[in-house]
Amino acid sequence: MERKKTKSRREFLVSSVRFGMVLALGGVGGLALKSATKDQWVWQIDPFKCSWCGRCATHCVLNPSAVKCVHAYELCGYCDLCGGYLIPGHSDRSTAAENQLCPTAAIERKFIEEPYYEYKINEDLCIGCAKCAEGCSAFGNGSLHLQIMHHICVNCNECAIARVCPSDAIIRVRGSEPYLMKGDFTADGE
Amino acid sequence: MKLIPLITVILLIYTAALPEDVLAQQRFPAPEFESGYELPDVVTPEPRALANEYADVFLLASFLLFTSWLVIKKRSRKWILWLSVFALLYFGFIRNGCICSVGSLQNMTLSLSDPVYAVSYTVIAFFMLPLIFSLAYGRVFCASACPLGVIQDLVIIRPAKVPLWVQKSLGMFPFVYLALAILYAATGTDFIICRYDPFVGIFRMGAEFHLVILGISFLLIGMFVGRPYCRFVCPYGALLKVTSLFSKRHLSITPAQCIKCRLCEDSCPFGAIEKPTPDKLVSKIKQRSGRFMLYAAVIPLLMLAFGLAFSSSHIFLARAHPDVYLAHLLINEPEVMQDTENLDVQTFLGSDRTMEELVDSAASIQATFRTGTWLAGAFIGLVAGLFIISQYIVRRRTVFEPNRGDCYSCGRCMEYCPVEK
Amino acid sequence: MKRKWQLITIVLVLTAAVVAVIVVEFTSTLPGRRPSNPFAYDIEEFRSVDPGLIKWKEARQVSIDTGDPRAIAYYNGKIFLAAGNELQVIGSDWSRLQRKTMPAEPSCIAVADQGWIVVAMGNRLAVLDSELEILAESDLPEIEINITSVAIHNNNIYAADATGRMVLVFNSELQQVDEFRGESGVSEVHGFIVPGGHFSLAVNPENELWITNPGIHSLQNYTPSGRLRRYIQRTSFGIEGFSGCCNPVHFTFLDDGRFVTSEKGIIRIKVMSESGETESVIAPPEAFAGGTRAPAVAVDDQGNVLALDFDRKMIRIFEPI
Repeated sequence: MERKKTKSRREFLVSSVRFGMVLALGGVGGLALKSATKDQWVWQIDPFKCSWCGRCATHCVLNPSAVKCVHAYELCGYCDLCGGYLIPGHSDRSTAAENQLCPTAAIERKFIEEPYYEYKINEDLCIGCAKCAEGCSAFGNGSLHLQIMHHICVNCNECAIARVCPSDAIIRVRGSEPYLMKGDFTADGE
Repeated sequence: MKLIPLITVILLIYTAALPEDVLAQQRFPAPEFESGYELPDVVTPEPRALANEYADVFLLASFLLFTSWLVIKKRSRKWILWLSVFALLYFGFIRNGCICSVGSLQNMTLSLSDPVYAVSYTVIAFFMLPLIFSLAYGRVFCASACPLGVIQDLVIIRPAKVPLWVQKSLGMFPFVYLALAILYAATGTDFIICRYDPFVGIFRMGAEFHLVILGISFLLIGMFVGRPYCRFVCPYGALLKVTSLFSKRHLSITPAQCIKCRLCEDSCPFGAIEKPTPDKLVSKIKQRSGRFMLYAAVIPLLMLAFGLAFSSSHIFLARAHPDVYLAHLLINEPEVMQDTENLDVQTFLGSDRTMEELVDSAASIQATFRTGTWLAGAFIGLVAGLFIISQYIVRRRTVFEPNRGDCYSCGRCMEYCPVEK
Repeated sequence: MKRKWQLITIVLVLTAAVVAVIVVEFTSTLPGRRPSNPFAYDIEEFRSVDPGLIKWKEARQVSIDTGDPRAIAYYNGKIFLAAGNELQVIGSDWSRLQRKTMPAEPSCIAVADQGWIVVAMGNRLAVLDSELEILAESDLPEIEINITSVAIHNNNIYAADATGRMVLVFNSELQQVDEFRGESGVSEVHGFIVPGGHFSLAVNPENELWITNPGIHSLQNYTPSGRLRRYIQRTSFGIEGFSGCCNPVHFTFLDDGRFVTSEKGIIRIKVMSESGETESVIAPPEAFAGGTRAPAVAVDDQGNVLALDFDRKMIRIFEPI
């Protein structure tokens, strides 16, 4: 009789605590729901904050990095003398390897018409080092810039590059608009 | 048609908000080509579809439900094992370990502390589901849905018995880690659980060298000490432990009446099986029970002491925040400003932020840390106090049963029980 | 017993390894200890300039605190400065003589010999008298234009439209009278190639109209009707020429007709002879360290060069040594 009583008292205590925990859990979940979104969140680089530090190439958990250079063609000047393609002080304007700025020769140069040249990124070769983006921004229009490519990115809970980015350029964006491409709003605005 | 002026106004407001430099750069059009050349499309692959994220949630829920059934009703270690291997393959090696319930703890914290930070429904579900199931059926998540737990479970070769006092006292660390993880997440400093996750590099088949060492070390330890990360580190495990202690139902070693055959006694690699209370101890318990109130009174003192101890290190802890670190660096070693190789310092100097803004930000973060460390310390004190008390409310036990807090519901012990239904 | 100790040792060693790794991971990524950029874009060798070539010294810096600087011009003892939405006239003693809020942000300024002023505001123009009253204002055009430079030549206003890649010609009532794209008919010299938003023109003391062709690093002299007369072209990363896509970004003339050119990328201001030889350097890249934009330039009555530093928000005055 005595045993039974203690047992039922114990069970009562346990179920009250459990009930309390359910309430607490519900409270936390409810509060989080207030700021919750249907969208998932992904990482992206704000190209206007980027300071081309090279850490996207070295600090991504993936090797090669999920950060790639993209080309906003509508901003490109199609220059012959491209600051993003040729090394400073190049000997001539050919496609010879010693004249190329890109450490992996991931930029393909193609003649369009006098005097315009197209520059295209070979994504498989690009390591996201931002060297071309820096050259293009210094001498050109900044049409070459970095973006996180979402078919490669594993969307870490905390982006390892974001942690070391000196200019806080890596931000979370909605999965429904996962890119911050330069020139995008020009295309819409016209 | 009426919409067009409105859109124009919106566009104007949008463009007006952009810095002039940006605008000039953005507005510039491509050349007009005479050869009919058209601008190539830029390929921007979509991230993983939302439907897949929801499928993950569904899969997690099914795993938990199925495991609960296997643990409570079917009582099959073999099935649990196979299910857990599948979970390891999917959540670990295919999904590359993100997002996991363990890490979601930080997203939840940050979303509560920072109103701007939004979480997705997926993250909330990943955080809530294992805890709900733990309240209902014990730590079934650890058994066969957590890739971190499963990978350790699979490498157990010769589990050694960890002395009880070591196990109990090291078992406190997850609570300290939990407090730190919440502190760092709430202040927006870092997600330390993700950062020091030893196994994610293995799931991704690639990580920095030293992090690979971390993972391998844990697995090697795990060969002799069952699930070292789960038992002595995992902060989410601390939450699961507490909820599981009060679970509605739980795995039982025997399907019917325990016959105290002691066959299961050494079957648990995690030291989670509680033996029947020896008669000697029963009388001792009675003697001790008087001290219960005394120890309960000690808890506030412990909370105060830990709070004080913790808060005295708030500046040290706050230095993990980049703003605080940078401010300290620039004040204490101003010569780094000349160091052109230091990208962080140079980028800060080249940015629009002034030194005052940085110092203000650092000071406010330090202040948050002061409050945060007090709370974290008090929490650890509370846990320590409750832990001490729990040593004195030993329940008289007449059968072999799992410790509801420590049991991972892996089902090994069930195999040893000769009792039939 | 021995086995037990072996096991304990192994576990302890591994635990030590775990702790060590965590400490290494934590400390190695602190902002003060991160590695420098292995992929740095290196233009250091072109930043250094032979000190013998620097025949100018910086005499004065004047901060602009009334809004972002946008354009500068000099005429007859007065500096005409556009900052924010305002047009300001500054006297030789640096006192502000006049100021006027313009209907839009000015992008460039030119002052005629008779004292009237032309201000371009992106896609439109305004003519002001010496009291800064607006005499004429152009209609907003239907097509997008972006005027990056204006000059007054034979009482006509020449405006460089970087978007349309052409020079628009207006009379003083702001009625468009002409436009030209710089096509010469000579195959080796292309029309205006304007890869970026940088396109500049100016009139030299001999009343010749000069226009940049930045895509081929050229300064070109045109007749008032837009026929190419002669040009200089210098492509080089070194001090002897222009590099990148858009240089020279700004230019003006000294009294003797030599060019004062301002470049972006490697930011520098230099003096070029009429035949295109670099004669001296006014401001080397070190003077603009950390900057991103090419300064606008003007020359005063004493032959000093006024450079509008957009990044530091100041007017910097360089004197010949």
